[in-house]
Amino acid sequence: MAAAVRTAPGPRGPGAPVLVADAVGKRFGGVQAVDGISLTMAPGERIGVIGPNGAGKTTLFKLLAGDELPTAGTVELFGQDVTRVGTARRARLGLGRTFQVSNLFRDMTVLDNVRVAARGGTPRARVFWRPQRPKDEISQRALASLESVGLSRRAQDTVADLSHGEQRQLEIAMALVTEPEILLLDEPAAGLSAVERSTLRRLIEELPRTLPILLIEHDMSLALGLTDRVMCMENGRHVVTGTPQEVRDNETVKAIYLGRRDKK
Amino acid sequence: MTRDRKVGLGAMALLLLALASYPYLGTSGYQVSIASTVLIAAILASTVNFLAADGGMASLGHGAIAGAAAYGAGWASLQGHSMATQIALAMVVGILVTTVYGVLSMRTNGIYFLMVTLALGMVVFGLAYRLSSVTRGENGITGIERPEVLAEPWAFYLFLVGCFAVTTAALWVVSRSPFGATLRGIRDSESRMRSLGYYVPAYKLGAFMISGTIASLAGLLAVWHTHFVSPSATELGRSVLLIVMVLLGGLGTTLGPLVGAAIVILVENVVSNSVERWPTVLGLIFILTILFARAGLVGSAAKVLRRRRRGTDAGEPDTAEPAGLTTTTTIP
Repeated sequence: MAAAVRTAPGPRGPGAPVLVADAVGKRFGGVQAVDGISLTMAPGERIGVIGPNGAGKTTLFKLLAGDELPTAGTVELFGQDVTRVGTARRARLGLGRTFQVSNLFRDMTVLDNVRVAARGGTPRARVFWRPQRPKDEISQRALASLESVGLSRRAQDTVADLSHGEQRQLEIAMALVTEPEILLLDEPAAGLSAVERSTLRRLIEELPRTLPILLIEHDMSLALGLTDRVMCMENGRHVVTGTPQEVRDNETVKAIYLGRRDKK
Repeated sequence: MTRDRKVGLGAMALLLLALASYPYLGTSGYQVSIASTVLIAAILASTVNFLAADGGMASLGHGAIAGAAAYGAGWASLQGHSMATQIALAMVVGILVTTVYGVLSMRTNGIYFLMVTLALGMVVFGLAYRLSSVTRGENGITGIERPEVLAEPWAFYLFLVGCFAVTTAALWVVSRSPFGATLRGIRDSESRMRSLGYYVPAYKLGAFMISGTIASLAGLLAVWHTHFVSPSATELGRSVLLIVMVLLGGLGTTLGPLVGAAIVILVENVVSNSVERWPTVLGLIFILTILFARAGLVGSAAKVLRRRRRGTDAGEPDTAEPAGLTTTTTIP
């Protein structure tokens, strides 16, 4: 992958973890939203984070993406301590992400959305003396990214004309065009119909296996079907981590999701 | 080139031709003077339009930026400096004030941005009043001359038509550039832009600098037109009228600022001769426009034309929210 958006990468060795969260916590006033979560992602690994509403998944996502700063613990990205580093810098290090609540550029065309993403924070985005070029390298990359998520036929439509499922596809196209070295997906299936969910699932499955993916998802079956390892959270705390089968068979996880916790 | 683009460029060329021929149509010196005021106001309003429509930043400080530039030229004139120095000082003072505005406001948005620019505008107004050793306080600075070549009112007017064409074209190019697309991205979602690697405050500062530089030029042109600058040039009311001009003409439209400026200046200078309560007239025009043509006169006319071309005339008043002027109030 080209490293156009990168700045001074940290020490990376073969097999070195791409993302490490060490006992991260986040307190909002009297509420401990995330409490001492540790997580290590190996290159190419796909990890799912599941849990019921209010489990702290989205807060954990924000701590890893840089939207929120943790009140405890540390976060390392490609060997660099990014605990106090903002979102833009993390993106430049190679972190791509999607948003749970769609905040696409609604007045722009689909293609322009991806072009803005493709330019990232590079000097190309600072060109103010000539119009955007429809056939430059940025546009080609944007079109290729739209093609990869099956949205190329909607390139000239405005975002407001897209269905909810297509907007999710566009989210992923925008993340992919930045050529990320790790991808964080924040509840990508939220609000999708069964058909749209199936399209999205296929889309994520077809992403390059070398790309590490952290998938935060309320839908247990989707998360278990797409990942190598799954962590379950409840009330901001870690419950269990294991293979999808181990998590599926775990009695505590069953109790959390089905509400049949054994009383002792 | 798309058909819309061709129509737009053709309309602009016709408009410039009409503007340039105005002094030769038997118009009086007073009428040419009013038209000059309209063009200067249009240049200034277009800077507010650019910042609000593309960047989502509604400024209540651009009147003060232009006023500060006018004071720069006035002070240099008072000291007997050459015309080149007057021009340079006007631009330097205007750009310095713009930089202060930009640096202090680049981490804000929505209502916070509005309040920061309002507060800084009040500071400039206060300095214009109190720093009388430089500004001559309430009396202001008089006798500021423009270059000899522009001494004739018609020559100055034609120069203003040229300035309007150049600044409008410049802002049009910036708006359609990758930088302009970045600004619209920031306007729509700062958090997404940050997540894409954009250092958002730097782009907002850049937009403010472009806008403020042209506003400084408008301030210089204004002082060349009136030969006078006083604290009233920097007062809040001037900045508010700029936003009224933008909304009347149509936020995000190329010709909207000119139409808005024409309405406001004509009401202020012509209607006021026969109607004592001219601000009420202006207020009524504004309310009616917001109610029945929310995209502004130019914006709504363009929408109607587009609908007619598609053969789907909705026949309803246009009340759709224009892009820009975000009311999002993210805490800075």
